[in-house]
Amino acid sequence: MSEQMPTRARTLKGLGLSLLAAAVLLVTLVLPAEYGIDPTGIGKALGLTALKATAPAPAQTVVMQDVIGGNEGLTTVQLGDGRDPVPLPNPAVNQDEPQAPHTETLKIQLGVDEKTEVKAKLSKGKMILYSWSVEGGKVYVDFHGHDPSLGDKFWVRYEEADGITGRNGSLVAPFKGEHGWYWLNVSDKPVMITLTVTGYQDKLVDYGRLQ
Amino acid sequence: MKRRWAGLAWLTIILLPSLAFAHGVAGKDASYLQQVDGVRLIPFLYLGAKHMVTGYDHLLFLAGVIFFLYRLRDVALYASLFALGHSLTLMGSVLLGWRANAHLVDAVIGLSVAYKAYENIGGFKALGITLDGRLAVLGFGLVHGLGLATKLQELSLSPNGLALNMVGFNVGVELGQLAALTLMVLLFALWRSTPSFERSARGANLLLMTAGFVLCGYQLAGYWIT
Repeated sequence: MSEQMPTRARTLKGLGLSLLAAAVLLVTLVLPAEYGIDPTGIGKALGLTALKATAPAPAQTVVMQDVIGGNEGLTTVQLGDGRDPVPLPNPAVNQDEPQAPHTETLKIQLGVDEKTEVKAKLSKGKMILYSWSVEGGKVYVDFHGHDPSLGDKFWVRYEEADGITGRNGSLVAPFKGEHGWYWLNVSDKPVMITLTVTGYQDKLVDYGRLQ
Repeated sequence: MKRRWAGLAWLTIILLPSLAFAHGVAGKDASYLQQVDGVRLIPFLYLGAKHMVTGYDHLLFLAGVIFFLYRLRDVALYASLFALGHSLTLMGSVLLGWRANAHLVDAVIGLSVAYKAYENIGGFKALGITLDGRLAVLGFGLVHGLGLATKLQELSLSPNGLALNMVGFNVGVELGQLAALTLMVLLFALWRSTPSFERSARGANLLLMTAGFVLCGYQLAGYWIT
């Protein structure tokens, strides 16, 4: 192999030299540059720790919520090195609409123990932002959705709360139908509810006072 | 000292393709792999080949393996054993969902480079240890396959068409290995024909061993801090 026969001492010396060289390279160059670990300060003196500081963020994984369906098979997305955009496996989380969202505002007066319902007609997957507040007292609310084509028995509840004075939020319709609020005045005086809905509702329907 | 630099120069030339690239599947390749849904044989084949040709850890190991293989038949035998080993674990772990820690696997891959270089300087023989080189290359082939698999498993690949895609990736790895080996065998033949080969071989293998230990330490540190 070489002019000298490999002896035990010579090969062990080679092993030792390699280990030593590797240790020196690791501690002074590789670890400072790759991880910012710099026990000797040589990495900093050579400007290598700056590599770590300015390096693009390491690959990250983002967990995706299955907001409107279609993500069942792909709940995580690798974010790559931060230079290239990552195509989302389910681009339906962004919905193109031909028109701007519209805003509807309603004011409803409710006497003591009176109740009413206001609902947004929504197609499946359409989104609304809502905000409502009560002046003069507190109400019980049942925020729910219902598909009229399936009869009156089918409905799902998003939120039920008692003795509150307002809520803000958003909703993506899980199915086509009417999605809205049942309000009951639980105060001992009349109240005024102001509701604003912005989004892609077909329209807001005021059912008036219920018996 | 001079012969050591000659060894360094030759090693650099032989391993040049891998020095230009970073390792791992990253950037647009990673995003491509993740949006694939269904069989895409050729792209997976290409990425497998690219991964091998640009993977310095695999190339360092191959360089160590063929360092003293003078006959093409031996190169073919050792390369086939290596291919058998890494195909088994690459296909097995991706398809069956076995998962190894990428840092630890890559640390062992670094050790495999150091092991081969130490064997090349006659280290094991001098210690009275006899190892079957064919078994070792098969065994380390299994570990290199795990390493290839962990890179793919970091991505969320669609199960749709995965088996065939993996066959494509694996065939690509073998083609990439063949391309890299061809170039390396030619360059080694060229190097061996120079008078400096005998004298610089030990220095070159010490450099290989150092590189192996650096890779190992780099990955162990990565394991430690993550």
